[in-house]
Amino acid sequence: MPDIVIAGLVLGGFALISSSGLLYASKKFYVYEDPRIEEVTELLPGANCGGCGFAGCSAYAEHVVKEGSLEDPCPVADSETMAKIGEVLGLQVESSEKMVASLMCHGTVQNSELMMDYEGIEDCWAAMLVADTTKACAFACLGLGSCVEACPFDAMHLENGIVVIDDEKCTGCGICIPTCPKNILHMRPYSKKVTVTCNNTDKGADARKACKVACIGCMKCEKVCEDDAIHVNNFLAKIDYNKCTNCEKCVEVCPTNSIQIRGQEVHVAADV
Amino acid sequence: MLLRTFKRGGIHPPEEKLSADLAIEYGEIPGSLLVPVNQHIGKPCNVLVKKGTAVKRGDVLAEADGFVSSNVHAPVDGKVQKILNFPQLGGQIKECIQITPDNPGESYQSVLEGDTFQEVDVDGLDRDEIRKTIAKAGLVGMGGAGFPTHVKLSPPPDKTIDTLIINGAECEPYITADHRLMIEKSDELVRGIKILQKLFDDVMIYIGIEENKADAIETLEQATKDEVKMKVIPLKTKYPQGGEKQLIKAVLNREVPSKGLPMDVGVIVQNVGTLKAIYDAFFYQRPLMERVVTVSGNVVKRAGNILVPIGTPVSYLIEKYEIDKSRIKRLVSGGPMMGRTSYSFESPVSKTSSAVLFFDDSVYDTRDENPCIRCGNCIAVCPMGLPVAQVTEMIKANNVTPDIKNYIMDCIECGSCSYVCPADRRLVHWMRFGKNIINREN
Repeated sequence: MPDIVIAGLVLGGFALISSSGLLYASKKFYVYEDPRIEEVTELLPGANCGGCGFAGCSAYAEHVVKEGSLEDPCPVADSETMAKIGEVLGLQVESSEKMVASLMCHGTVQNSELMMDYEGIEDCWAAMLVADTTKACAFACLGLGSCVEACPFDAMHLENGIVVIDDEKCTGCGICIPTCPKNILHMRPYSKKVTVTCNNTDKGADARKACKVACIGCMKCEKVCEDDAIHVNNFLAKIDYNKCTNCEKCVEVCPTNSIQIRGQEVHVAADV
Repeated sequence: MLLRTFKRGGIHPPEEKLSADLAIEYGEIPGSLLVPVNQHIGKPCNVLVKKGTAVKRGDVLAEADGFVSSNVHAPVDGKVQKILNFPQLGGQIKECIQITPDNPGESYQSVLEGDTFQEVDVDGLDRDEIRKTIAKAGLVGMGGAGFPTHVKLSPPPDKTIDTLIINGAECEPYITADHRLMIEKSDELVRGIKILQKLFDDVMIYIGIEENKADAIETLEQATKDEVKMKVIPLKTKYPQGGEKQLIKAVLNREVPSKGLPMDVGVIVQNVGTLKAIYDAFFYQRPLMERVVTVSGNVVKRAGNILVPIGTPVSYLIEKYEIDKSRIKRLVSGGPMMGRTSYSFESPVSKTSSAVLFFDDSVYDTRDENPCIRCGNCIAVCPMGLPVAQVTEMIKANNVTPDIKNYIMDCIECGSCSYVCPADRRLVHWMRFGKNIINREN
């Protein structure tokens, strides 16, 4: 017998033995997995951001298939995707609006004066260990970018000492919210562009001293609002987005420009 | 003679004790005082006064809430102007009670002379009574941490205390407040120590003083020569000998376990400033309302030690010592090693501010942080024996694994590592950031 035939037979024999082993193992140790999990995973955005509270997209998919409900929807996926996932699971999904993160501060270095040269670690929490604020306003965005670091979608950037959020890139995953030591990030619906860009609960005069565009609690916005959507509480205006109709009347009357329209921010404060 | 000291790590920065030979001065009552509501570690106090309340010197402004908390008293007669949030020495914004005094400009010495001395029979004092008096007087550790003294003096029953160490090490450069207290008020200190001695059975007392304060060692040796159970221990000058754990190691050669407290090895450490306050609380019925502050730094024309009421703004000290405001680039409260930078000249002196230092840019380096060159200096000088370089690198990489958590929590933030780092790394800041990460996880 020629050598090549022996070699072929030996190798073929090995292949046969090991493949039968694999065949046996695949039958013996077979674990049933719901095929829908894979389907849902494919439909999900696949960013593995963790915004839903699970370890990643496949962990979330496993959860929704197991529970058979979409009560806590993927914060990143749009309503179309969620509808498709609902189809896979045989559920009716109410379309919900995309949420975006929004900063309740416009204390740029021009508006709220820097009180010190901070030379420590570039992180908001680290700065908070040295001093409660780096700016004149104790509530202001520190502008060191702990949230920028955390954002998995590149939607946040530092500009003039505050964080600027790109509404188009923001998916509303909400990861940035707990990374802010000042607690000045919140979620708002994508279509509602009017925001109160201040979180200062000091009295009007003190707030104004600290920042040029601080909300002074003058109540003008509350009076002009026809939809009962804006209320001043603790010297700070707050918008109820369930009622807001984007009429922008409050923006016009605000004497300190602390109510702004996203995308059309006024950078220099008007004189009071 | 071979002097005692702690074995591991440590540095010897320039001492710069500019005010060591200057007697304690008395300040005047400033035009306005800002008394911080919370000057201790523990539960926040409840404010008892309102805007417009007239207060007498010694009145309780804020009451301790629970056991681990401490009273705050009005340091002067006056009227509550406002209750506001204000940046403290140390950067944090805290609630303060602003008091407009009735007699601004009055010398604080004449105020103190108005208090009457009352002899107390120390032997007749009950233990609980002593603790209660100390708690009522709002005493906190005056070395810097501000832990309520009565809590420290109430160890759980399963811990036997056999040694009391009086901390007169004052290892930080520039500060001389404790040094002057030991020289000028040695008899008061000894009487204060005798009160503490009553609290424990058969307790030995050691007074640890670094050898660079030879006059203080001599004075206290004189004052304690008749006392069998008190001994002055001269220590080799080395930073951070004033740290509780290092002082215990230096004086007794006992090592406080990781995450442990000095009482785990049968020791309680008290600062000399606290003892002076204990003396005042018993013999003058005077709660903690004032403290000695060292004013020093490289931009001051004359340094000094000054006794001021708590709540005195830094701006008063600047005026009193005629410091050129435009030259001040850094305002540090506490020593240059562990002290904190502040940004407001109106920040008030609190119970724990041992010094207010004024520097320009020549003392502190403001170079950028550079990459670690693995020289190992930080590890060699760390008095806690921590692998500082590795741990900070891991914190920087946001990788606080369970095995480095103990290292981080053991850090005493003495600043020796940052002092020796040739790459200007913010090592202590990274360590504190690591502690912050762990606290946020919990």
